[in-house]
Amino acid sequence: MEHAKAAGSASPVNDQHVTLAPPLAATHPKWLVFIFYCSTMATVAMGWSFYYMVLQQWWLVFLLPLEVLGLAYVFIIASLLFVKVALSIVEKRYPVVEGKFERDGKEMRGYQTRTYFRQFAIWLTRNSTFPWIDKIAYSALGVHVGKTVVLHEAWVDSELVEVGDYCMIGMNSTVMSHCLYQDAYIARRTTIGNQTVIGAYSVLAPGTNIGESCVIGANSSTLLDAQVEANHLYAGNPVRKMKRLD
Amino acid sequence: MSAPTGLKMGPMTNCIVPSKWHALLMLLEMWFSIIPAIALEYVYLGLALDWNPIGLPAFQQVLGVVMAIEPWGRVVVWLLFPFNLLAVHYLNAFSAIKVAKFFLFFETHRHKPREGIFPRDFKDPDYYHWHARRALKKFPCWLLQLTPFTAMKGRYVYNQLGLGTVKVGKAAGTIDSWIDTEFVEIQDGAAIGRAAAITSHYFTPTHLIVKKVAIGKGCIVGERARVPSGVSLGDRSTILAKAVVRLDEPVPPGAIFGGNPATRVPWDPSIEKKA
Repeated sequence: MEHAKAAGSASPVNDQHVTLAPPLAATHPKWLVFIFYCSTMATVAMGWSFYYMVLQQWWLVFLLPLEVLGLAYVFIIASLLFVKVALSIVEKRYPVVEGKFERDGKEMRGYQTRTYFRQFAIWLTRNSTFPWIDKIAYSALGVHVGKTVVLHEAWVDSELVEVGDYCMIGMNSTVMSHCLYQDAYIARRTTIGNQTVIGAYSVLAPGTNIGESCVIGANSSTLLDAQVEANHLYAGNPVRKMKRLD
Repeated sequence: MSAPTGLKMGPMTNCIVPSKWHALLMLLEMWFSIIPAIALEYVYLGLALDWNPIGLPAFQQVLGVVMAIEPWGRVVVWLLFPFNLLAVHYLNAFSAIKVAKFFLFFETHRHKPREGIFPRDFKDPDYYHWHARRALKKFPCWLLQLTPFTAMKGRYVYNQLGLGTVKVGKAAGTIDSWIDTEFVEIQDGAAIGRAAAITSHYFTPTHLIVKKVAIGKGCIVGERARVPSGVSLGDRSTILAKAVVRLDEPVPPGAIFGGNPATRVPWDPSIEKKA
């Protein structure tokens, strides 16, 4: 219903009428260095244990390439665990909330703080040998991500987002659950149904609710709280219903 | 929330290396900036592994002192290992910025950076040296993109490499967008969206336009918005997501601009109601 209004009425502007995702503050929380310290020490412990194993059984040295790869992932998984611990503390002070708040207020500061912790783990997975494991980081940090999902070439917000099974999110598209509009900071839950394809360079505004088996065309954008009907092709700025997919 | 795998965000320094001498200078930049990092690692690995391969006598005495408090001296050194990793990376990045500034001092002495419209021809000194400056800024910017930490990525690198033509205040989002490293002014409290491109340069098929781009206090630049050269955003103005602003567009204070090309749009009260 909300969608019909957005798509049907002549919008005063032929584009997205919100600016998305409150950007991160200029400096990260200092606690990130502590997380880095702990996970590096875990990696060092694994490295030393491998060294002593090689001293016992010399042929284990042939596992060195596997060990190097393994150490990288020990570091990533350790920092993921420490980030989860840190988040459980941070969320006591700054809980995840939906609604409209003041810009640069407590809620936006909370978003920035939480996102720095989440981004640390997600950055590491995305810059590792297998970047598609970032969905493990997303689901570990509380985002519902279905099976066989492509996320790693897009900006996906790390909270208040739900991605269904077999979704593909295109290159450099942004799936947002937060936005800035003049003096307001708005947080709404964004959901993407099963088997939906989001085209490259598209922008999903907070509150977008996409049904199952949809296609969102390339370089299109949705408005705040847009409802996208299942089994349809949508495209444009803002998105309009193009045709039914069978 | 992190940049897509295929993107490197941060200071925008893509360029053509204008001559083989500048390629050599880029190599020298890497060479010089790694020397302090190697010195740090010599000390650290020496302390950690009781190792002095060149046999420096003064360092041998330090090693003797640390060994004298065995085993705890060695344990403390190993407990500092993660800080050593951070220190070696940031020492490398810091010296890369300083070495780049050293080279840029001579580069700007040869030809002062200036605004204007220049033909895209390497015989034109402005065009040639514009590329040369960006080539020299490339390495420190690339180095800073290699960690998930924000230290030195934001105001510091812009203000250092800007050589007086850049002023970046306490703005949010400068690490998640592309911003040019000269003729840029961003005031305090601005919020810059993901993957926005704020450039003081603009390429036409025949010319390069270099003109100052200014972003006022508390502005919002939307996600993936394009703010090209000559644009000045008034205080607390808003550029909507995916907007493409025209060259030399003066955006008045408090205005909202959106669309492609960007035009002034009214404030949408329905968003206030919805949220």
